[in-house]
Amino acid sequence: MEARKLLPALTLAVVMSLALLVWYFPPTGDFRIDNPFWNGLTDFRERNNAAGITSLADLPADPGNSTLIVIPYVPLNGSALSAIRQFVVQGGVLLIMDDYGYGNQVLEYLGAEMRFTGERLMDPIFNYRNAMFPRASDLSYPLNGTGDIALNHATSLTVSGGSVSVIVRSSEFSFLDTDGNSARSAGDPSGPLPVAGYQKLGDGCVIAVADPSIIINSMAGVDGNSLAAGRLVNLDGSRQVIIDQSHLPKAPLDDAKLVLAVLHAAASTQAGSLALITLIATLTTLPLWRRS
Amino acid sequence: MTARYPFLVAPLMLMLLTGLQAPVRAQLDFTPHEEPSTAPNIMDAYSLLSYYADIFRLIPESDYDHIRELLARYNLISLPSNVRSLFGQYTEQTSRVSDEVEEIERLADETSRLLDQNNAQGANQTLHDAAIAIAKAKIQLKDVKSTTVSIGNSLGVPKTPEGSPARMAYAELEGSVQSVEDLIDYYLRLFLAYRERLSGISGQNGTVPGGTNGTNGSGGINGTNPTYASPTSLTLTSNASEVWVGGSVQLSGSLTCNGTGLGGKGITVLFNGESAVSAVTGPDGSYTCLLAIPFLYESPAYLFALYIPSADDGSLYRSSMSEPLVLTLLFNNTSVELVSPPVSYPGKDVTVTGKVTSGGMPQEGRSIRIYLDGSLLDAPASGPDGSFVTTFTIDPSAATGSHYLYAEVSPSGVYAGGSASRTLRVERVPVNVSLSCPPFALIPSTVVISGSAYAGTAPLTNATVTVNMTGGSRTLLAENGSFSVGFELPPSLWIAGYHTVSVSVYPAEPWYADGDAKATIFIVNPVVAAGTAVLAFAGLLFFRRVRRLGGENDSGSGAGSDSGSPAGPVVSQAPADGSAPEGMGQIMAHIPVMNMANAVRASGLSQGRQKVIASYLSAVRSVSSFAGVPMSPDMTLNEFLRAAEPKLNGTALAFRNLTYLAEKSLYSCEAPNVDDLSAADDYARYVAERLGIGGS
Repeated sequence: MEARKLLPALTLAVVMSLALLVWYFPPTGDFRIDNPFWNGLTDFRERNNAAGITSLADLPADPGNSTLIVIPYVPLNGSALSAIRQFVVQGGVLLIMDDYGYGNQVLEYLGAEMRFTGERLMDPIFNYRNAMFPRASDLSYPLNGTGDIALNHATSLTVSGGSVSVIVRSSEFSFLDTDGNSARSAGDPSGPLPVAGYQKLGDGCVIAVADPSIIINSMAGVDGNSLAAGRLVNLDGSRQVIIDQSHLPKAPLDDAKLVLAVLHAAASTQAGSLALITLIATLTTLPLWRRS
Repeated sequence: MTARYPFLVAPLMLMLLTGLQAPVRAQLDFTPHEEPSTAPNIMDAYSLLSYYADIFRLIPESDYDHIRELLARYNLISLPSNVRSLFGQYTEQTSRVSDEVEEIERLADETSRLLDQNNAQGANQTLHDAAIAIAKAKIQLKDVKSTTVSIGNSLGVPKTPEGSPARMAYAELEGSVQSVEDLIDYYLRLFLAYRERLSGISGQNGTVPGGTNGTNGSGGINGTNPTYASPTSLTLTSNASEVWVGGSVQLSGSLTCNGTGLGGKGITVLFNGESAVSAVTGPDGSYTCLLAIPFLYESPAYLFALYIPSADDGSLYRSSMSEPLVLTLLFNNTSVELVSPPVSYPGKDVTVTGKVTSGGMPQEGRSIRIYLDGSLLDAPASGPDGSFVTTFTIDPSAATGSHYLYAEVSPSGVYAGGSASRTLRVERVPVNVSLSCPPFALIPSTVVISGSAYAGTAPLTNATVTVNMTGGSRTLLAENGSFSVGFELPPSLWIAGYHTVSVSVYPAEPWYADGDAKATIFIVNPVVAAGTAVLAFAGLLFFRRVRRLGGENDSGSGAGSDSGSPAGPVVSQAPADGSAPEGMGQIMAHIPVMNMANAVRASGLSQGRQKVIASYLSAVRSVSSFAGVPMSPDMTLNEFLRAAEPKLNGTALAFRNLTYLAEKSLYSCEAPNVDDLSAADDYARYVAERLGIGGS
């Protein structure tokens, strides 16, 4: 076969192979609901029947029976913040899980009376593996009886008003490593420190959890993490759980999957099918056109 | 064009390679998480010692609720396996000391209250209980001190430099333990003071603590100032330092006051803090008694002798307690072997066997209790060879995973109890579901989905099968493991796409796991698809026609003579983009020379192209005549050039260049420029002149 005919065919085959590989290889990004690896959320998704959204514009119009999980590792724009506020005001439960990201941007915008400190929470005594995995056992409603919560490189909250109910506190042996020396220093705030709290806003409420990693696959089965996460997302009864995937750190594979997903969605519509059939018909009959 | 393909593939390859690697995180200040299974298990010795120091420090503060809370969270501490047992023991000892001191504190408060109420009998009882509690606390604190040293050694504290955090934390812990001992001593002094106070009350009321109110009160020293009560000293020895459980030991000692033996005084001997035996001192203050060793299988045992003055003596003598006597208890250990299958299944019977031995010798008739997850399953007795066997059924609703199987042998005589445990893994047999459905289906039609469910190679019987397909669900009973169900695909506007078929199998037997399978069917609606294709085809035709008409109009206006051109030979229409309509030879074959210009103009080519072609055709006529080479209808320009060139002599180069310009005008997207027009005219004129034939 001539090279000029072989190369296009080879290129097409390679592109199709790569597309298939990208399509079927599971995502590897942190907190991705389809990521079955240690840092993904497949376990959480299955346990709580959660669904992911790639844009906050896709939030339900009536959020009264929904819980939205936001893990803001990238900054949010104005429309996203507005959508979140609308969601909460209309009765939705916002579970904002953050440690070192942009959670305070959301809390400030909502006027919540709590903030993420952004400093590393360590507990050299009560921990899962080491001091970076603090165990919190001081739990209040709605987490009574869920068992301890094992954190993974968490931070803590500061509470500035009486409208916030602290629901998880770290132990008295924990501390915030403000000077970054991985040891308790004189100036390091000591525990117990708030790790999770909630505040009613409008018809809904916002729950801030200072560690999103409690719901990743490798931590979901540790201590009472799974039960606690289930209680948080179903605060006052069974709720539809939505996980925002648009403010997570992205791997190139995630981007490629997103492109393929968009193409697949477009091709799955009636218009898309029509265009695809037209394109295929045109390409396959092109030699006939030329000859005539 | 082809050179671009590698550059198309390269970015895709790069994208894939980078995409399969670790995720790229946003720029966060710290690592958001770490894989727990690979995270190092690090114990902070300094903090751990501080944890216990804090607990012991809370005892003098009487913050017992906080102590219990901290101790209850001991399980949350991540400890390396090699020290877990030691710290577990230490936590247990700490808890006992805390409980005992709390009890002492309660007894102190109660005694004080009773004394305030002049309730001598009640106070005497609480003082007796307090003496026992203090003895217990002292024994337990001794254990704590011993374990503290072991912990320090296991953490390598002695090897750390002076002033190191670990060394300081250890010193802090020792100080905290010492503060608890000081507290116990304080309570001991307090109770002795209470005893003296009780003597005063007894003297006033004429009551005998521990006796009957008012009956023996006359024997007391009424009005004696308790301040003058003399201290007493008590000793305790035994005739053996080791004794078998169930045996006995001869105890002896003496009670003295200022070196003088006190006779007729009651002595109580405490065995591990519990009152075990009493004696009365002889005239010289000595006493002996026989202590029956209870069947306790924990060695060593701690014995104390306790003297609590009676009401009569309360104003004369003070209470005293002997130094502890350590007695080694001898008994035979019992070993238990427990054998269970590695895997069991819900609803299935499990047979567990085992053997009870002591020192390698089988133990017959020993009572064994077997528990699963804390629930008693059976209580068999061991046979002559020490073996036992039990069979039980796993709960059909038992969760899969690890379950705790525990066998406990009761102590018997000089044989201590024993236990053994195993992890009983409960699993459900995986069910395989084979699914058969067509890869393609048309609308409308009926899709038949069939399959079978089996475990290993055996088909399931009476399993419930649920088949789901877009828009419908069917549930059926697979009696012999096979199932088949049809789904109708009604007419619709759907063109084409994948439908997912999912099958869930729920076995009737509890030992089988649920099974499932999925498949996809590509469903095409040929009517809609064909209609769509026809529409697309018609659209393309229409589009092409519109383009062609537009091209004709453009060329006509360019030539200025298309619409009013005279009738002439039919020439194939050139495409609107100016490419060649057909073979030039075909044009030449039907074009008389006089009509050549008109024919060229009618060809649909742009004006510039027409001029070049006209020059070329003029030259072709000259060359053809001169060389005697006709331009046949199927001849290309190049073929004509190759046929005529050998006979053209000096004009060959000019004609070749002219041919090139003609091809360019016919086939190239680039229109001839002014230079091309001029050159074509020059070449044609040159050829005509040199060949002696007039041009156009």
